[in-house]
Amino acid sequence: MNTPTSMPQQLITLFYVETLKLKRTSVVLMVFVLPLLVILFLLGLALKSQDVSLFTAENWQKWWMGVAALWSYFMLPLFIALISSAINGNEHKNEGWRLMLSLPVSLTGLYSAKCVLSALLTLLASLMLWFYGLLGAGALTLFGAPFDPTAGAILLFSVPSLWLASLPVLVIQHAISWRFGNIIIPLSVAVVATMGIVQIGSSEFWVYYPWSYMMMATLAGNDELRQQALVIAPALATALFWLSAQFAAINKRAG
Amino acid sequence: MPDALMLSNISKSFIDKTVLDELNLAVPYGSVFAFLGNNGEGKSTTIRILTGLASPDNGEVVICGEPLFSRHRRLLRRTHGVSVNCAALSLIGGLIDAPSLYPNLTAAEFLSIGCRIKGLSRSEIARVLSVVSLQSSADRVVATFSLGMKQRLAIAHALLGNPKLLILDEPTNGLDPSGIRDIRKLLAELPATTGTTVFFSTHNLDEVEKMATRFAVLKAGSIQFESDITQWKASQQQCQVIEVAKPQQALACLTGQGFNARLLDNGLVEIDTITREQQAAIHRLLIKHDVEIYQSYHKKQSLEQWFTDEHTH
Repeated sequence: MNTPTSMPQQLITLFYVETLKLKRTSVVLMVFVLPLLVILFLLGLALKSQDVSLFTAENWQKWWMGVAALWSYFMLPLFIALISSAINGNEHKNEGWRLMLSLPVSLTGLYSAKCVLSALLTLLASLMLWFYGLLGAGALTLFGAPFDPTAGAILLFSVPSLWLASLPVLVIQHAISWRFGNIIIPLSVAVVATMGIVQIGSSEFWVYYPWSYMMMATLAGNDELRQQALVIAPALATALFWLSAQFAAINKRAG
Repeated sequence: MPDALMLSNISKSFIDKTVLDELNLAVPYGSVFAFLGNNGEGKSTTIRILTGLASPDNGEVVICGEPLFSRHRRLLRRTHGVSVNCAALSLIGGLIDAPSLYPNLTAAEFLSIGCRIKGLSRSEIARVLSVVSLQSSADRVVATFSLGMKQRLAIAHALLGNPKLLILDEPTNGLDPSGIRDIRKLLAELPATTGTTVFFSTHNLDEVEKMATRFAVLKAGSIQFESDITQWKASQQQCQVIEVAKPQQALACLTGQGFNARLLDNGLVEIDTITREQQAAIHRLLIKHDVEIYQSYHKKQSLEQWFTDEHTH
């Protein structure tokens, strides 16, 4: 027997194991379908509301901003809640905690591997959004809109910022899903928190509201605010992750 | 050589209820050890502690010389300042209560989780599947398995890497009669074939008599009785049961001659005996008094009877 002992080795092993557990689940489907829904909705809206053959550079920018806004104000927080619940729900539903904790793995390692997997799936979903956005833009050109790739390129560059800004929310949702087996709890938190994004995000109190960071990082009018969000978000995410990892053992092995 | 498992002064309380009270137990290497007790006596808590799912308030658990828990100061006191030693956990294979499986995975994929974590080669998957006779179902999704197949798969998972100590909670739950026979045979043979010590809890006392080499009875959180199964069998009172045409006359006849006899509810007469000569004397006496004997057999007290008499009140 050659049990992985060092933390990086264990993390890699657990990451593989957590990825394997998602086989034949709806998680993979969510990564590919939820961004597509956003694009289909905005594509339909564009086609219904105006003559796309008259699309100007400003219209294109608005369309891509619509993509970014719908994703970061609404769909991404829900997506994070769903993904975290699914990854942790695998253990709650199937008594997987009992199996995993009776194996030689560290709880912090397991907690971290699940969190990293959620983060990577979130990044993948944001990239899929951009990819579907391109397809959507291509579809608009088929309906007569003049080709303009500039705004699309801007959204691509904002994907890493969006991802960084989503990390505090991701850690919070992960910690809630790790603790509670009932999917209603993390989903309720996500729905209620999402409702406050626009209002709090447009106020001076946005700094205290992690759900608004995604909006600030991608859509804030001023560069200073954007950069502030991109500094605060990873720092807060790291602090929250460290703190929540300390609590990870409670009600799991300690009981 | 240290014991395969040693529990020293283990205590565990939940709010105001003491579940384990200074529990001491030693499981020798190579034994098949049955852990008995009525519901609520602390069996499940003990097994959860042994598999690292719960930590004791006090005391020490040592697995093959390796302490399972280490105590230290922690930032958050709510974790009891106890952490699990993964080196000790890697010596254990465990099946706790109902099998914990991922229904969306195939049997082979499910076993590859344990293989990866324990650092075993993939050939181990085929080996354990063949041990539990599931090799033909390796690529079937677990959701389609019957309860018995799931139990076998969970046992296969516990057997990954030939653990030094196998801890099983009700291992034959949900199995059909042939499955029960196969698993009992497998577990009874494990110490000889792989050197694995088996520790299991069960309510099926017939299973204990057939499989175990040693057993212990837990009551109110501490060990009330512990013995080798062969020693226990030798110490049990034996008796002769006879079915006769005139039970009352037979009873009077036997008690008159100094035998300790009693009439059972079903009309049979039970006589405490010590030797074969006494058995022969009983038959001679009844024939002499013209009492027809329909059948006569020697009976030993079963573990179930003993457990019911001694440990259920």
